[in-house]
Amino acid sequence: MKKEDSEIHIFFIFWGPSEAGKTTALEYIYNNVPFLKKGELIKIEDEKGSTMMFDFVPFVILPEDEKSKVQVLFHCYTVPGQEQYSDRRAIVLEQVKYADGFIFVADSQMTRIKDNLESYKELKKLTKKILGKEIGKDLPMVVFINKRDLPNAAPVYLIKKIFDHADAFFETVAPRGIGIIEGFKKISELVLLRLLRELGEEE
Amino acid sequence: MGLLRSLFRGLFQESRIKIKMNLTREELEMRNSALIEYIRLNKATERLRCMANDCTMLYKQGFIDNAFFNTVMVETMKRAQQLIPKSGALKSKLVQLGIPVDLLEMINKGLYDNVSKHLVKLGIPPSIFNSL
Repeated sequence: MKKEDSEIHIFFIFWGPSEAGKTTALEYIYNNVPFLKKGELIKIEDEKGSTMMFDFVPFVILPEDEKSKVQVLFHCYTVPGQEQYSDRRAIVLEQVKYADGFIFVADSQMTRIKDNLESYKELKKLTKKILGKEIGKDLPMVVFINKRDLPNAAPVYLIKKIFDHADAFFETVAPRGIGIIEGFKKISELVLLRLLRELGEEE
Repeated sequence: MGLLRSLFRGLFQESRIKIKMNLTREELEMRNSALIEYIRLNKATERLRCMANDCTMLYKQGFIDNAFFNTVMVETMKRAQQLIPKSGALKSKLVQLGIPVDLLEMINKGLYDNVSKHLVKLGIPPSIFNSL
């Protein structure tokens, strides 16, 4: 989190193995936020649509109360999921040094269980090394168990077993938006509650 | 939890922005300079996007290496972090000062011909659109 005059900036990162649906999930959220409350969605991708470096979009939450002048900005990022881009994921984490919460997008397919596990292990390692924080302890994380509509989707309990520190799980189908908004609300809630506590302004 | 609920209602619902009528001379000037700034930010974002796309293409074709690609992308990221939240936050202020949402969307989509017509109506020389 970053506080600037009348603005509070909160940073979210979508993490997970390649092709799990990180960009699709972010796009679904983007498409459901009204025009006046979102900035441009910038995507650094190749011709096949794979993220090469990051996606980024800010959302602006205007104060409902006219007297309040505090604006909350949600900055959302994705990382490239492909195994060989570990250096780039580290770079994104270094750049988003104020990261407040993570959305881990897991691929439900039986054949991707190992990839989810490797990606989660890397997330834990990098957050500790770069941010000096631990998933679960210092950083809230929700898991989108994505692609639940596929016939080869692994049982949910099997995917849940991968994560030793997750605040909540959501069964999702990103292109159809199933579970996406709910999951995003949950991570926002977890992060905001933590911040309110830190700021000593808990309601 | 009241604050949290209101924040989420705020994010996914259309804004209830009160449009200010009968702007003073100072407010009109402020509105026009904010609109020019919005155009500038949008055009800068578009240039950034093109540059990032070109760089990605060059990397994929093997003309630049991983280290150089990463360096360019870090700069792209820093620039995007500066530009995009600013233009996002300006939108509601502009609507409050009477700029139609349609015009902001046209600027956002880079529909220069249509934008020019609106700028004339607002007393802004359309040539400014190309000079930014």
